[in-house]
Parts: sequence; structure tokens; C-alpha cells
Amino acid sequence: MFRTVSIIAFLVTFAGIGICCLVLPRCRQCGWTPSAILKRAIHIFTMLLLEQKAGAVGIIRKLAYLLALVCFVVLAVTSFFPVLVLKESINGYWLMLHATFAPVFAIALTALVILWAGSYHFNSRTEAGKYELPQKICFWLIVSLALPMVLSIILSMFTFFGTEGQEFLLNTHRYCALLLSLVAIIYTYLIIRNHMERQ
Amino acid sequence: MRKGFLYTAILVCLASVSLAADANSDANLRSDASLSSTVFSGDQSDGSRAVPIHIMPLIDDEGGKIIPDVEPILPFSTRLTCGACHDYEKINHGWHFNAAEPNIAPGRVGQPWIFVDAGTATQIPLSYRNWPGAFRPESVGLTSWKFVQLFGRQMPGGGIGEIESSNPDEIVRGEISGKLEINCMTCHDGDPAHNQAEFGDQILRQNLRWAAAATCSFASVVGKTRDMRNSYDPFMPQPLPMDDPKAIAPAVIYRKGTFDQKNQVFFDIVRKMPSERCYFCHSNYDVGEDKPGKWAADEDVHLAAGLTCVDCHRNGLEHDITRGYDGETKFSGNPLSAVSSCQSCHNEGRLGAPEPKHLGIPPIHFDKLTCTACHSGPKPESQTIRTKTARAHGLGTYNVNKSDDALPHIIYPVFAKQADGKIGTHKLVWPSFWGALKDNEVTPIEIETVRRTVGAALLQTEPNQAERNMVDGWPALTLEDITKGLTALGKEIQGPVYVAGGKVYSLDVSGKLSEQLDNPAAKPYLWPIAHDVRPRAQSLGAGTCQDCHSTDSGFFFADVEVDVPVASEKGIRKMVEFEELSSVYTKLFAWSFVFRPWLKVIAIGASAILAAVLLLYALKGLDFLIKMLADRK
Repeated sequence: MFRTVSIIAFLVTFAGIGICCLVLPRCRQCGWTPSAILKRAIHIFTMLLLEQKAGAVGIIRKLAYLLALVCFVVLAVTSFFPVLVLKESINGYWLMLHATFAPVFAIALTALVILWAGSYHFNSRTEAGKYELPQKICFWLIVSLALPMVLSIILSMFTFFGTEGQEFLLNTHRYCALLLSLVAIIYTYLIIRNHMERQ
Repeated sequence: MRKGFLYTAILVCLASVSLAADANSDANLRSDASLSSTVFSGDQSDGSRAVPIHIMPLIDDEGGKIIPDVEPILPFSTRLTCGACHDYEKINHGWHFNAAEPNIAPGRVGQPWIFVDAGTATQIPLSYRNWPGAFRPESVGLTSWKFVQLFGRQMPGGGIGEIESSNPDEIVRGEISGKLEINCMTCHDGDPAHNQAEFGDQILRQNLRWAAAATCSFASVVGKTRDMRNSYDPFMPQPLPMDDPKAIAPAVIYRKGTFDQKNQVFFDIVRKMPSERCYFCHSNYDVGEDKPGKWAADEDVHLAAGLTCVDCHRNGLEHDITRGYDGETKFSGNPLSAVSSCQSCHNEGRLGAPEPKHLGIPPIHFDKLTCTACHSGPKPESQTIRTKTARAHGLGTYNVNKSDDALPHIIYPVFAKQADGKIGTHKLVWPSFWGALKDNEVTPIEIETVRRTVGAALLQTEPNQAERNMVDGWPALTLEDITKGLTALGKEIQGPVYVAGGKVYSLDVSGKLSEQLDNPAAKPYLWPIAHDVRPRAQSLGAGTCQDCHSTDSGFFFADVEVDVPVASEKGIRKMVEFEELSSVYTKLFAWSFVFRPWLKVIAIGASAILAAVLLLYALKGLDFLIKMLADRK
């Protein structure tokens, strides 16, 4: 069930993004060539390696962002690859990697939220024009989904819930993670699009 | 005219012969039909839950009614006494009796009979059922007669006990001793004076015909068929041969007052037998210096709660008793097999079974483990222990070897992957036997050949030594002894090998001993166990995850003993090997639990901050909304 839902959800999301790129006039102007997309993606993942004009807080913000991004990629691969490709539940080394990166992701995400929340305030005036409404919605969706995602898996480690409760918590964790992944993909797309538009 | 008459006569004759044949075949069919549809009065329930009182005449196996003062006084035959009202044949196909029937599905691997011959360092699992890893009794030269002589002590009779041997000498002996009929009283005798140990003793005396009677409190048996000559006729007692003054002819003596005025006898029959009846064949006893006595060990939680074995392991007239494992319905015709597993009882709440909560146990455990993995047998420690079982060691029989190192050596608890892919608790025995290797397949050698060759070779000890020392129940062997044994065996058979401790030893072309590790015949034989079940609080995982997921947990990292007669070859295997898991991965995974508390702290801290930020901005949003609405007003 979860596998089917996940596959459909990912396909719909990527298809939606593809349609956006091809159909919306605003997006078409960006010149969505594979090399341009790759260039933006590399830019996102190598922010710290570029010449830094930001102050200490800015560096921490970027660091938190990159750490969260790397952890997110690892967590997504270690959780969705076994389920979607290998058709098995997450276990073995996948699970160990997943559990190793999970607390790092939790710390990075928390730092990110603390450092970036002000910029993503819906009534924010200081950063006006930098982040658009869809990005802000994505940001707060990520934060809102991260909370039940983290809590559900941590609660399952305590002896509060029986088998049914455990299954509910596991499903909560899975579906929150799926939604969070989809939102994160859309968020990344929006950031890339923003960068390309500005250029 | 004459010719015509002749043809007509021939035709009439042929027609009448044909009609007679048809009529005969109809009669046979009717007779078969009436036989198969025979309804035994005792098998038709009137619905009463009360147990019918069994007062009845005793019938001997010649069909005669036993009358106390009429000689010869014979033992009663259960086939004819109990079978007068119950379908003996149908019962004889039940699980406890049908092992030797070729068309019976073997079901889940079970406890084998373990043939032991200490002199030749042999311990080999045998079964008539087609269980992987168990050898057919014939492979070591055991005929049905010999098999019953060895293992009949813990059998309920019937089945293999009634199969005629293929050996002419044994056929003659079988005529004198009789058949080992089903001893219905093994299970159904409610008389506290029932003595099942007599059954085994009578088998050793070759008094098979007398065995069932001997277990009843109202009869005692003297004498031995074993001492009688082949010409002895138990139905026509004759003067004993003068050359054997000590020999006593087998005879049954019924206790005074057993027969009523109608020459009938009361049997204290119970439908729901006490667990002690089952225990005679289904006991086990953990051995070792630090193991508590039986009195100090706790009973299975189900029995402690007031249930008996037969509350869960039930059967109807067919005696197709439920074994109680998941998937049994594929092999059993018993409808209760679908609802007699741990899961079905505890999920349905049958017999007041508490519904398992499994607080804090991730559901993946139920895909990977059997219920028994956490709930049955002794808790795993750093090393496996040895145990004795009634069937392997003859517990409860007369003159049983009570030493801790008595063979066979059964090792447990071993957590191993089963055929269904789940890890369960098992008992284990390492096969040790002399065999022949052909096309990489090892087949055991008949024990008489092994005794004659290897046994004789092993008896040749050091010149100053009277006999070979016994160490840990085994003859103290060295690799040189194995070489000696293989050389002796090689004079009689092609490709002699010795299997022990998971290895196959053989001689290379130069006569040097070599060993092979991965031959299936050398693999340990494991069979899953279900009892004794520990209560919830004593189950694995009831404490913490680290009951199993710690770097030194017995569940994954216990040392499993490799039992082998050669002292230099003794060793251990790690539990993870039997679980078919990577030891590196399992160790790393266990290590991750060291950091589990940190993970919890970090995740809870992160959740608290995320919740606070969300709340803060939700309140800010609310504040904005309120102000915006106020401005509009």
C-alpha cells in the first residue's frame, strides 16, 4: 500500500514539476536545460565551498541548510530505496544508516528552523521579495511535517504503545516522511527556479 | 443339431460363470462398504460431556474372553478389547502412530529419535518421517523390530510396533512376543497407579503382547519372551527347556478383585488426560552443575495457569492431534490446527488467553521471529546448555543413565532460522556417525558393520590400558583413532567417512585424514521447541531492547557448543551463524543501541524546539489575524 502510494506520489510530483517547467510562461523563460538544472543543483550543494560573503550567522545558516539537505538525501535514499526498489521494509545496513543520520537531521533541521523561521514569516518585511509565498508554505509544511515524523518514531521507542499503536506510529512516520520528501522536492524546485529567474 | 446344443451349453456356462463372478464382486463390494461404514458404538457421541464408565470384558489377541480362572491367562489385547467399541484402525493412523506411513505429510521438523552407540562414537538423528537432516532407521540397519526394541519405551504402541519385520529371525521372535499394539492407557488411563515405565521394560523383555497390560494397575507381568526358544508357544504353555533353569515364561497375573461377577473389568478412562501422562514422553531436564533441580525449575506458564497439554493439543477420533505451529493447516486434517497456534489463541482470546500488547516492540519483530523465540525455553546466556529429553534419554524408565554427560548430547537454546524464514528457539544435536561417501552424498553404514570394523579397531587401546576412557560421555578419541577406524571400515566399504562436529572426515589417497566442512550430512539437526513457555515478564524484550540488542547478548552472540567425540576438535559456533545473519552487521547494530538513549534525547529535544517554534509562529499568525480583523473593524 505504502509503496504504491509513494510511487504514485513521486510520479505525480515530478510530473507536476515537469509540466510547470514546460507550460507556465514564467518558468519557460528560465531556460530549463539539463546543464542549467545541474548547475543550480551543484550550486545548492556547494554553497560553503564558494567564496563566502556572509557573516558567522550566515555561515551557520548555510551549514545547517547543507547538513539538513545532505541528511535528507541520505534518509530519503535509505528509506525509499529499499521500499520502492527492493520491495522490502527498511532493515539491515539501510536501517543503520537511516538511524545514524536521523539525529543529525533532527539537529540540523532544528537549527535551520531557528535560524530561518524569521525569514519565512508570512508577514516578513525584512526579506521581502527574497522568498515567495509558495516557498514559505513549503518551509512551514516541512517544519509541521517534521514534528510528527520525529515524534512518531521516537515515541515508538518507548513502551507506551502496543502493536497497533506501533503500527500507527510507523505509518505516521512513513507518510509524514513521504509528504515531507515531496514538499522538500517542490521546495528545492522553487529555490532553483528562483535562482534561475534572478539570473 | 449336436453342435448347436454344444454351443448353447458353452454359452450358458460362460454366462452363469460371469453372473457368479459379478455376484461375488458385488458381495465383496458390499462387504467392503459395510466394513468402511462400520460405526463403532464408542465413537458415536450422544453429546454428554461426562466420560462413559468403561466396565468391559477383556479380550485376548486370539479373540477369547479372559476369565480369571481359565488357563492360559493371557494379556488383554487393546485392538480387540478397546477396539470392540472404538475404531482401532482409524486411531492407528493418528499422529502418534503414523510416522512410518509413507503418505503422511511430515509437517514441521520435529524431535527425531536419536540412535546412540557410545562404543563407536555414534549419535545420529533418525525418523520415519521425511524431515530434512534426519536419517531413515533402515540406513543404520534398524529393522522395525530393532527400532521398537530401542525406542518403544517412549511410544504409545501401534504404528511401527505392529509392522512385521523383514528379517526372518525377527519374524519368528515376533510370533512369540506378539505385536506392540496401541496402549490406549498410555494416555487415557486416569488411574494414578498406571505405570508407563513397565511398557519399556516389557519391550526389553520382548513381551510386546504383555506390555499394555503391564502398565495397568490391575495386572502384573512376569517372565521374558526374550529367554524363550523359538519353539515356544505362548498360547500353549509347555514345560520350559531344562537347559535354561532361570528362564521364566511370560505370564500375566491379574490382581485379585479385578474382575466383577460378569468377568468384566473397570478401566478408569479419561478423555482429558492429565499432563503427567504426556510428560512421560515429552519431558526435558536441563543438565549442568549450575542448573537447578527439576523441583526448582518453573513449569510452563500455561500449565501454571491451570491448563493441561490437551487443552491446546487436541484431536478427535482420528487422533490427528494438533501440534500447534503456524501453517499446520497445510499438513493436518484437524480443523483445530487452524486455531491452535500461539497467535490464534492469544489473538482470539481462546481459553482466556491474554491478548498480547507487546508494548514498545516494533512490529518487524513479528515478521522475523516466532513467538517462541522470545517466550520459550531458557533465557539465552553466554553459552548454550545441554538438556535431556524423555525420548532421547529414556527419562522415567527403569535404570536410566542419570549422569549429566549421558549421550545423546542435546544442546539448546539455539536461535536458528526456520524453513518459514523466521528465527525460532531450537534444540540441536550434532550427528556423529560412520558412513560412506559417494557423489558428495554421505549415507550412514549399518551399525553392525561399524561395530565389527570400527568398534574392533577402536577397542585396540594402548598396551598398558585395559579399555578406552570415556570423556564427556564419549569414548576418548583422537584424530589417529578416526584414521584407524576409517582404515578398518575401508576394508569393507567404498569411500568410508566419519561425520562429527559438522565435519566429514575421510582418508585421502595417501591415507592421511582430511576434512570437509560443508557437507549437508554433517549439519547439525535442529528442531523447534515450544515449551516451556515463560510468562510475559520473563520474555525477551520485556526488559529493554538490550535483552537482545546488546554487544554481548546471548540471543545473537552466545557460544553454541560443537559436540564431538574428538577432544581436539571440540569448539563453538556463534549463534548468529544459525540465525543466518552477518556477525559484523549484528555487532554494529547492537553497538547502535549504545547510542539509542542519545538519539532519544536529541529527537525529543528537537521535537520540543520545533513544537515551540511552530507554536510561536502560530501565535504570531493569530496575533496578525486578530490585528488585521481589528483594523478592518
